[in-house]
Amino acid sequence: MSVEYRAVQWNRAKLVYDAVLLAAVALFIGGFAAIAWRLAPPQSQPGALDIWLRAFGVCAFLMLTVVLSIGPLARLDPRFLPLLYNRRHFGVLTFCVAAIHAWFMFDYYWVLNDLPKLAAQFTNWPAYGKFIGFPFKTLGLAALLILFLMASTSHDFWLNFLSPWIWKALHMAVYLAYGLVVIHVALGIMQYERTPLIPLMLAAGFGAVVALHLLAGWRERRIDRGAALGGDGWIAVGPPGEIPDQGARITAAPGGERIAVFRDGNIIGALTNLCAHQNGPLGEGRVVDGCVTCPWHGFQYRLEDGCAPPPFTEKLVTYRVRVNRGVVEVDPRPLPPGTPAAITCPPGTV
Amino acid sequence: MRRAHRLVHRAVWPFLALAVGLGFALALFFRTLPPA
Repeated sequence: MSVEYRAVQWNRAKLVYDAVLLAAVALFIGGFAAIAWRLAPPQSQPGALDIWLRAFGVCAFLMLTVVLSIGPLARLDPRFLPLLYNRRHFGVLTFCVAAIHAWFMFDYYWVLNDLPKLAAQFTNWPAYGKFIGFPFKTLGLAALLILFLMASTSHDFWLNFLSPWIWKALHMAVYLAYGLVVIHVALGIMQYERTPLIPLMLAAGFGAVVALHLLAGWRERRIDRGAALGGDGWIAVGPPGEIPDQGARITAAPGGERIAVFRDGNIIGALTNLCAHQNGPLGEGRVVDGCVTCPWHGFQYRLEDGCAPPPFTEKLVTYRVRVNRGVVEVDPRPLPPGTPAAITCPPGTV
Repeated sequence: MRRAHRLVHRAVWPFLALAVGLGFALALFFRTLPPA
């Protein structure tokens, strides 16, 4: 953990991120409503509500598409990492926009004094056996509940309380929510509107997210297969000079977690690739002032022993390293967290 | 991410792409638009 880190903190980067995000959302929704109003001026209050309902709905879909693209984009190209820094705020705002969409839908029926009709759509049990005609609002409501669960547990308190492993597993429910949203739109408004923009938006958005996730997963398969073990069970990483200075090479034993082998000048050390905060990819970070710095949120650990600098107490698993005939090797059997294991390269090997 | 999470990712996305893609394609194919 960085010495500047506090659990709840508004720093400049977060403020800029949130300001840009809010401005983009306001601009999109305002622009959508203005264009819709101009193309077909609403003749009644329900008509006006319908425009806002659609504006917030489209915005929520696009935001969810972007949120789900940030992870694979950052894995494919580190230039997208700044987007990942404050992704949780993006996710919470997405829930808020989706909730406002749902509120406008409720308001629409309220103004028409037709709330029983809305309720009947959720309880039309025979319709649940159909495909076309399925109560699509139920799908949207289910997605909204998932987004609510994620937004309400997005704070670091829940991350620590649940542990990064469970928290991450829980938050992977967003994929299910996205699938529900796509079908919600496909069985809903796409069945009533002739415009090709709706199927195009769904196909392009969902297609892009799927392609990015499949591509990122395919590229990472090679590392996850694991490196071949030497006769004594150690893994060859490469000559010290091939490990980028103040950077790392990532390796793994077959079936094991990834190991990040760092070089800081002539010091070589190996840590787990998993940050203690959110299991971020430490090996894609840099060594700053002797500390490995996570590329996601800046948590820091000393290279020599995997301990966060005082006053913080996080400790990472370390691994033994050695230089054998000019090649750095790592023992994939983990040492207890916080065990000093870094070495100084013999002269002339870097 | 942990290895287990990456494996889940790799298993989930092809399945999700197939299921949702099929649902979307069928919804598009069978849609009966109201008269203009």
